[in-house]
Amino acid sequence: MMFEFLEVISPGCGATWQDAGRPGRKRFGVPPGGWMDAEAAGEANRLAGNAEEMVVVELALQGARFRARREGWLAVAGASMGPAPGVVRKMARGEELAFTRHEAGVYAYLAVPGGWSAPVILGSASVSERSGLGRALARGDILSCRHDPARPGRCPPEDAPSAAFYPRNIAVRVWRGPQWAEFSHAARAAFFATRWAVSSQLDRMGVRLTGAVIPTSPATMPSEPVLAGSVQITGGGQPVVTMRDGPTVGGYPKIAWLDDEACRRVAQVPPGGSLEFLPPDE
Amino acid sequence: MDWSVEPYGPRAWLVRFGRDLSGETMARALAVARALETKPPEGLREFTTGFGSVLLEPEGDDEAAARWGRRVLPEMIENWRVLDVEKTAAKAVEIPVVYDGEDLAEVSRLTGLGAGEVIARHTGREYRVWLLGFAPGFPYLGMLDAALHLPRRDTPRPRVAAGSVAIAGGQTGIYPAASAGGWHVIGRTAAKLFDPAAPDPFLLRPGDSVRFLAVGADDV
Repeated sequence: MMFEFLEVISPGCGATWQDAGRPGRKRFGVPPGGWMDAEAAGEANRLAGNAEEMVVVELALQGARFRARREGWLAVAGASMGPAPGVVRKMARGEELAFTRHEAGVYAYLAVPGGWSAPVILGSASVSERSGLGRALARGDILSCRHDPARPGRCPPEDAPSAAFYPRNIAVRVWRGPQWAEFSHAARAAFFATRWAVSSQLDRMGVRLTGAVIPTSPATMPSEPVLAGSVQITGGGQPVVTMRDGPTVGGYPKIAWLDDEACRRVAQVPPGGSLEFLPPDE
Repeated sequence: MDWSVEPYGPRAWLVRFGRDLSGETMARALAVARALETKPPEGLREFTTGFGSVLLEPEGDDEAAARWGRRVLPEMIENWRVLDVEKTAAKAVEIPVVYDGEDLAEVSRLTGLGAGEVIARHTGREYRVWLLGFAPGFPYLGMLDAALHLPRRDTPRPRVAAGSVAIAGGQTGIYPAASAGGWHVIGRTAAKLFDPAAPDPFLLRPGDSVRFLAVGADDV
């Protein structure tokens, strides 16, 4: 039984199904994928009374609008784009919800009690358009639920005012990347001394930073495996943080690597915000 | 041999089998990929193949991974030194191609070879799958005949059709799905390189060998 709940009026800057992704297939060219902020996605599911790993709708930056085709509960977590995160709201039939006022963070998550019904490919509902795995939500799409969203198992779901905080300026501790030793002392010093601006070129594949030029060795490097969380220095000396849908191999040197928690925090810094990298613990 | 082992965060190691990408380096990397594929070592969560390199990610948390890196990794790498690179049986795959690609005339002009000669040189040898990347199931195949080596197109095409057979540098590849792409498209195949619904979704694995067969448009 399916329950048609939300109609997409606009996907805004990007709306996709996301779950934990498709680990274990990098050698076939499949990026890990999955939610950009696992903690916020988990919070949306908790608010809806679900297991944390269920598929959610991930919204990027702002602009998404939905209309309820039936009455039902909807949990919102993560970035603030208008509707308060950390709240489970009862949508009336015909009611619209607009995520059109960007306030903080980048990625927000929507969950319903009992879970969404989303197409699964290779064991995951996570959409990675660049990899041809599923497609982003588009105007007119209908988002359906597995259970009646108006009759949650835990009734009514309780709000848990969100403790999440999405600062525009953050500092993250790095680990050494595989080419760490090949960067000069001066290059590494510049990398840590710079407060990097998050550019508007950010998506599920990567976050491009500006603020200084990091000298790299001119020799081209044969493509080698790339982990999500890698800080690659491109040919122009600009850092790019590889995110969940980033390519699995690449030829740019990787000065540093960010663990999942650091990566999640970086994902939530909007364009115009900034990052500072802290040297690895020795 | 000039191997290197670099930590890549606390839970991964990148092993390089030489920087020169010589025949020996590539053969060693492929033999290791075959060994990992056919006999997955205990405690290894995932491996990823690069050009002359392999990324190893053990199971478990940071602490378990560090233990694996100390106790298991060194011995594993030592065993790779005695792998017989000649005896790594891989799957041999034949891929039928209609050589009517949109860049065939341009490739012909740039190489100074007639279209028939381009096709003869492309079909005239066996390739190895060096790695899969760029997109799910996209194989990097080498080595291409030296007369066909061309830099990538100056301007990538916004859309290359699924099944396009293309060349760039010393490599040839096949686009499993439509995407943007900067390689020179010389033909097309109906072979399915990535079929998410199939029990084994990927036609090729690192180390497999590939031969292209020229076929008529009616044969696909």
